[in-house]
Amino acid sequence: MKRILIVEDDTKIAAALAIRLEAAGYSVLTAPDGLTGLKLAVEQRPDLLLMDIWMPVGLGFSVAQRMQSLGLNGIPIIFITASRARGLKKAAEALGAVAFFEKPYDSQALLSAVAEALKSQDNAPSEHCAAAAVV
Amino acid sequence: MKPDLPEASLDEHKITQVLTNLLSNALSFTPPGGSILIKAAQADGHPELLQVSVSDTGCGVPKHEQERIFDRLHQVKAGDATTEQGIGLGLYLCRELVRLHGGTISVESEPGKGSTFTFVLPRTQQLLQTDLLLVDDDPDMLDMLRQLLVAEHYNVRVARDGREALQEMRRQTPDIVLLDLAMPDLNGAATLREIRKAWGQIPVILHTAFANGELMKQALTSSPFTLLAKPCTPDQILQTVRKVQRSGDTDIWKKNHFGLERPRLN
Repeated sequence: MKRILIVEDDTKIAAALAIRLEAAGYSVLTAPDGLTGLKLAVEQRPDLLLMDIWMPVGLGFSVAQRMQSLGLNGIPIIFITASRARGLKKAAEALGAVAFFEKPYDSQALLSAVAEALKSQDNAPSEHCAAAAVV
Repeated sequence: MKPDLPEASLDEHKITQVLTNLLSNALSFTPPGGSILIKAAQADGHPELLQVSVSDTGCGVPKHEQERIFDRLHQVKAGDATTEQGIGLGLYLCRELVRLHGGTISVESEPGKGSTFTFVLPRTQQLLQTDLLLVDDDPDMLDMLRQLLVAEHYNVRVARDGREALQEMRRQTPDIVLLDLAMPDLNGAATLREIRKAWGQIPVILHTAFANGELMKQALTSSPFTLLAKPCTPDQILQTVRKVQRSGDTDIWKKNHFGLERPRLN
């Protein structure tokens, strides 16, 4: 079963996302802030991250940067944000995000993006799966 | 040991202890004429992990023992009855020390042929610590803050003025910014305005002796932030940082000390 880590400070949104993803057959982990999310990503090696951008302690972008430094760039990231600030999408893409959603998001579109990201990850020679076996 | 082994920042004492334990096990279980091999390398495809293994050509560990071998006070019944037995603490200690370092330890073994104990450690803990950026034009203040916070296991970066701070933030977004208000050139209020433009609602602690001054009025237009009034004790500084860290479930994040709502971007 593919494991998805939701990093989101709004627990209601995290719960709603988790329900949808579990119903779609994924196993879900959640973290209430970026730093907890980063630690969970390092420990648990999820297959995909679904992450908010503005969170107390550990902005989504900072987590993405640090995951790159830690060699975890094999894990695709999808950002979800309520912010309409200009340039966010571009910044997310520069950090290698595979998709970007603004709240309120279309859950069907989000689920397709998740499935798509996991599929292309399977096709790519996956570094982090090989290393997970080492660990 | 591979020559291209990257640098790692480890607790030397703990990791030496793990290695010593594994080596002394390997020595006591390997018959005369056997060999012991130590390898250290970057984990395959994982530049952030360091992998160290100790292999021996001793009596090996039976399959059903391999999971329990790291348990406390567990002793392996060796095939060779003359083999020296420990009290069953060594591998337990190894596992606990490696875990303390955020790593894992495992064994691969074929009875009669030998065993390989492998531990994998993150090369640095810094990226997993709360990342604080301290901004102050007073080098003594900066130094004091740095020492105080490093001792509390924060990953601390420093900047001597607003411009340097923005540069440092572009390099890597910190978790919390501790910002002095009265600085020459780009002052705290102006720096905060720039921070809000590019980093939205990143948590900022404003450190100032002029809580009622003109600069503070300017800074308020870029709220919310948490106010840390000078002079303050080391305890107050630590408490404030911890409060901001926990602010996910308190109201500081939603409202600042002045009761203002979280700003909307653009």
